[in-house]
Amino acid sequence: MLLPDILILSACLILLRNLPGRNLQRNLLLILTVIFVFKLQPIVPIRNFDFWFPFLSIGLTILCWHLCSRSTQKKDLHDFLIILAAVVCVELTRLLDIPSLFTKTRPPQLQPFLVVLLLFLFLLSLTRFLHISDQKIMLTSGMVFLIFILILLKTPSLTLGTSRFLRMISGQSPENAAVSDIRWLGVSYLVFRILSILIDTRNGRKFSMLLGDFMIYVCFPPALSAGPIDRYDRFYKDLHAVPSELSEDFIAALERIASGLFKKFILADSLSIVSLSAQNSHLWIQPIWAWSALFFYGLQIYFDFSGYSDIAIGLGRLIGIHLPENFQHPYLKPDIAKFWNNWHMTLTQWIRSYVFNPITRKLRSDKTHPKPQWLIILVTQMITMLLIGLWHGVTLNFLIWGAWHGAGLFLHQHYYQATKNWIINLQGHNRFLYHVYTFFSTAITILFVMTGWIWFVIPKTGDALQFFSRLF
Amino acid sequence: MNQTIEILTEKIKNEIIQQPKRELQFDEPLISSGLIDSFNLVDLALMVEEIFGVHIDDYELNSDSFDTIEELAMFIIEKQESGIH
Repeated sequence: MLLPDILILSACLILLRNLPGRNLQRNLLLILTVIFVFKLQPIVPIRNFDFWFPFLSIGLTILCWHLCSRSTQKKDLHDFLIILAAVVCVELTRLLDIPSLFTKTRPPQLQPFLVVLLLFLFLLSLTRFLHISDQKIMLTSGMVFLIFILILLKTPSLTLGTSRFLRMISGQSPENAAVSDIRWLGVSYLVFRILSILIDTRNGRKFSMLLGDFMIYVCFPPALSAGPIDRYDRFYKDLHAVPSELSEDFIAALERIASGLFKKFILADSLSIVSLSAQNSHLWIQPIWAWSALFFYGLQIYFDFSGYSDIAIGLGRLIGIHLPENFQHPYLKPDIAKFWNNWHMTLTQWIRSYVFNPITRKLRSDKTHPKPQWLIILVTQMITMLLIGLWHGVTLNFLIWGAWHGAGLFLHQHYYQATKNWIINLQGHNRFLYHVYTFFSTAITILFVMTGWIWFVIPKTGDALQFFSRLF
Repeated sequence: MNQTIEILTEKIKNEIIQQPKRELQFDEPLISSGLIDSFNLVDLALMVEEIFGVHIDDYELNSDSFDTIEELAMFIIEKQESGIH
């Protein structure tokens, strides 16, 4: 999100909050949500895809709702028409001579738009028909499809192939294709929100969500581009809570947004000038400068991401939505487990809910072939962290970064089990020594996390290894 | 409620965190404080399912659902009363 977007969004949310009646507020919030899916989408070099990517985001959300919700209220049709009208309005801005009103470039011609819209409506009717015959297969297909999209967008060679294909169907030269062409705003977060509902429904949960509520949850503008990844149940409660006076939230929201802007646009942007990057990794020859650049990067990524989360949380509060926290002083934690409990918390909580807990439960419940505890810990920690690595991109270095943290968590678990009683004793009987111990364990955790960032920031393994060797 | 809290306190001290001598208050944060880690949490869910016959879903295993023994007892009783087993 750029500064003008943040300002426009803040103004819109404050206006909405001051309107009488939660129902009117909610309907206008739905329109605002749909329009901002288009408005926040960055420019894409493939013709009209700054329109088609948001269109796909909205389409996927409606399809998922269709598969999961048991709601059969008239209000759903009402919501569907609101969404459709908002999308058509965005398309019709093509006829106006105002550049970049809702989309970065002019929306597509009317004819292809109508063809795609009809195709989508056909697909929607088809899923309803198939859905009735076998819900589980449809839900599994939906999950596989969403994971396929993530793999396609996060594997550089596949992304390049996708760009070539999209350029071809848009009548552009495939030779100019690049990985950076496929900039689909917030797709990783959107897919994870939708996946959680598909998985829960497949596990037997029954949702009766209104289409409009679900659309606002999945595409909520403040959290669209970089999270936090909220849960539907929690979001729904806030969306329908009796609105308190804006004055109660206003100061807190503004403080949060101001803190986020300061972290993101002043601290992170200043640090980016001197921090380690893929382009400058070979320039840091002396260990002292290499360490400095690495630490600056660690601080930059923290201020950038946590600043963004602050802005999202602040914007949410303007309309009475309390988005979950994403960062709670992660660099001040005394061990790697606590670091991960406080770094990108909503992503780790998601992976814990849908990957770590089910695997651990399965392995722990197997009484006929009991597995040794160390093996369960190793397998579950590794799978969890490798997946978190791959979520950032399907590359060798993200995999190494995941394995680095998986190994760290595994070793810490063993160390913690062995020293637990000693630490508790120290905490109870010798506060001074306990503080000294906490200070050193925090320092070691920071060093471990910082050296891990090498794999995260430098895309080529050879370059990363070379930089690693320069630290010593 | 009190009986549920007592059972939970004993089981958590002896079987989950394995510190029988530890004083455990019913309003003491267990998950957010790091006393119960992510592995212990799954064990806790399995234990609750075995003793109280209620199912805790994987997405409910976090400090937002329950963080103290008192909150866990409430969580179990609510599930028992609503018939979600």
